[in-house]
Amino acid sequence: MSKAYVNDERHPDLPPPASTVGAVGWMREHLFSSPANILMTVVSIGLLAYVVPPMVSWLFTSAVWSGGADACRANPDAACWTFVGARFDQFVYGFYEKTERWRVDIMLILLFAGIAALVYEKTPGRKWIGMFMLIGYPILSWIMLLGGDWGTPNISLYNVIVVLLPIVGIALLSYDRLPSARTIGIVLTAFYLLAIALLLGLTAAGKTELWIGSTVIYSLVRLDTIIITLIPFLGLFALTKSGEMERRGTIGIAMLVVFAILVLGFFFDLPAPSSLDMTLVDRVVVVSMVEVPTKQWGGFMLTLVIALTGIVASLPLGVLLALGRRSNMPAIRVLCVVFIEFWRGVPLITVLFMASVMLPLFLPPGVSFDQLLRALIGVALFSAAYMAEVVRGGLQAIPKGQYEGADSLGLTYWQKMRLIILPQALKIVIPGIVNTFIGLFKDTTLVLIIGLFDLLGAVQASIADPNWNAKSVAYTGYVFTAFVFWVCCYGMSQYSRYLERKLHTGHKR
Amino acid sequence: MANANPNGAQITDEIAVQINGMHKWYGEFHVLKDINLTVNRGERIVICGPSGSGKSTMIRCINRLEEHQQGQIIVNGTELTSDLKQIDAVRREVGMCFQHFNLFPHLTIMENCTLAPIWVRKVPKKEAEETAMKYLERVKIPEQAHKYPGQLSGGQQQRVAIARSLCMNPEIMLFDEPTSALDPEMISEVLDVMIDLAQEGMTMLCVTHEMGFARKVANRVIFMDGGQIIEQNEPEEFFNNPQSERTQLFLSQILNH
Ligand SMILES: Nc1ncnc2c1ncn2[C@@H]1O[C@H](COP(=O)(O)OP(=O)(O)O)[C@@H](O)[C@H]1O
Ligand SMILES: [Mg+2]
Repeated sequence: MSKAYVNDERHPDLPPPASTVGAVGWMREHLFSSPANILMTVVSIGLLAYVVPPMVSWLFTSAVWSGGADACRANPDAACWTFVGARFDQFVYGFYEKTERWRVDIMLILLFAGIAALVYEKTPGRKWIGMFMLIGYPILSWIMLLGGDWGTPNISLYNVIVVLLPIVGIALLSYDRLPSARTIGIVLTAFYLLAIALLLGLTAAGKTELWIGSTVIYSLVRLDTIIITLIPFLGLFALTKSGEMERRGTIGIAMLVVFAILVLGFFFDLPAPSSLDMTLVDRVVVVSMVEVPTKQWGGFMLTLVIALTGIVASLPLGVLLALGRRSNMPAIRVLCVVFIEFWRGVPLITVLFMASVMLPLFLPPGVSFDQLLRALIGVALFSAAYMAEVVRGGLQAIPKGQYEGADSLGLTYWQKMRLIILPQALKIVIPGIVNTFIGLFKDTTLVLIIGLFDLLGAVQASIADPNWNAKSVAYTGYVFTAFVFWVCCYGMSQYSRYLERKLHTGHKR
Repeated sequence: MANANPNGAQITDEIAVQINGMHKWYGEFHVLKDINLTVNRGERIVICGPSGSGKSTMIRCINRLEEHQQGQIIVNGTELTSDLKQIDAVRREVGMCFQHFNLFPHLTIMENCTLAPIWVRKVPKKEAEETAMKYLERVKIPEQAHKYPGQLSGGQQQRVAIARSLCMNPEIMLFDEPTSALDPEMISEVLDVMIDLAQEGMTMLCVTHEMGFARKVANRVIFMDGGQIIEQNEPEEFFNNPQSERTQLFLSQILNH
């Protein structure tokens, strides 16, 4: 009987056979591995040979790179890049006031610098830059792009007390590890109550104003003012009362947001806060610039404004909606479902039409708000509904054990969602999220129908110019537009793939 | 040991878990029937029984991963009701290890261990990391601290899960079949950690079929079937002299195969 074969020495590691590595190996494997594959390769090469040379010729070699419209008329079968050059400013800014375009430039530079800083991992303070880009930048853009006077309509001591005291109190209370938070809270509450009582007393006594020298300390407290200021007080009181103060961080943040809105109200001169007509200083103007109404905004800048607003607003809104849709509380669940299904069931064009044409019909006469703002809100809510469904998909993919693991450690609902569930769920749906972003970015072109001129609108308007009535002008304009959109969308898609790879801690069992 | 009792104890400090006349249904299905159980502080209890008998459901009721519909569960002097504050208070003091570990795959081992202390107990990060390291050393995997759960073997993951629970400094530990998802050669490394824990006096409720473990550390073995506690006894008595027929059948099935 023959001995069974055994390898009693360790076999050395040999290099792989040459045919599977290197350029030749690669070609053999990928291009010529079977007759069908060989056929496909040959057909593809033929197709490329047929398409590429005329394309290169149209786009580059015979294209018109200099001269005016006449040069393009003389050479109708090639791209007319000189048209793009001549109208480039309009493509970027639309009809934005010429002398004020530096403001757009600053915001664009800030935007690209911000994005670059966020994409590059080693930037110090990325978290803060991110916060600025998400919260500060949109506000700053609105101020810078719109211009006009920005300041508080009026400041009184009362305003200062009403606004600052609770903010300081809430900030202090929200800081979890502050030792005597309770005492501070009680003292602040007492002060606050005293201030309100004083003001109410004065009102009751019929004194509508109180002057010290030439400074108004107080003038006319209106009921709505009191109601508004009661909110922070109640919050503050609740914080101080709750013995363990477990949720005070959350409540504190919520209260700060409410107050940020109120303070912004002072700045933006919204109807409610401006009814706080108590004057310490007549009007403090912080910034004063030429006002450029949103009607004049246009071009790539408008595309960015709409797309970025949609992107920045839709993700948090979408996450909240998705969480709401899976909530245990029926009222919240129903609300979210109705909201999501409403927006998902309506085409964006309809939304935009409704926002621009029908909304004014429902508003009381005299109340109007900006056409662009209406479109922005429409776009944001529309994409939030889509985002909500994408995020919900991610939430559903998280195994029940993750929820239980978090629960068993005593994490609260919001901690569990923020620290455990959402990071994993959002990671899973990055492709879907970016897909929604890309869709949104391209859908911005629809604002054309409500009379806003985004990049595509600006290009179309330029094409219609009789001075440039050459055959190649329209083609060139559209190719250019397509290219700009493609660069932006491809950039997003590549970044999402990079993120996916980076966040892969994988080896899931 | 002085144990703070926020809402006026009806029971003494010596009792860790008390379950009185507890029932639970899943829809129409009556899973747990009249469960009565008292676990003293420092006691180690092993729960066994056939699959589907309600063992998991019962111990998951103790930290309210499942809700009971009738009866009373008092953990550490706090009664479990729908009050979220009470539930959170109980969960802070009760650690749990699951059959499938339930580690957080997007966080490193260290982050898994420090997350709850930092967010729930508000321990400073540095201190939380020191504590985590201490427990990772105790479960003998300090060198894995910066890896992700997916890079560890099953046994290592379960030990991390135990360390993660211990970092919260719990009074009571619940184990739901901690070794049944593991390859045979990894079972003992997890059991060793559990035995270690038992010898330090941790109050433990373990659902397990590791009878060696039960004999070695348990004060009491509980046998469940059909959603009821059929029998409970000291390990020696339980194994050598089972009273009910169902217990005898069950023991014969798992011991002689
Ligand atoms: N979420 C659920 N919904 C409905 N029935 C369930 C659910 N979880 C468990 N059950 C049922 O309850 C019974 C007890 O389950 P379980 O406690 O997991 O048993 P054990 O852990 O003892 O194997 C089983 O019959 C199971 O099918
Ligand atoms: Mg089970």
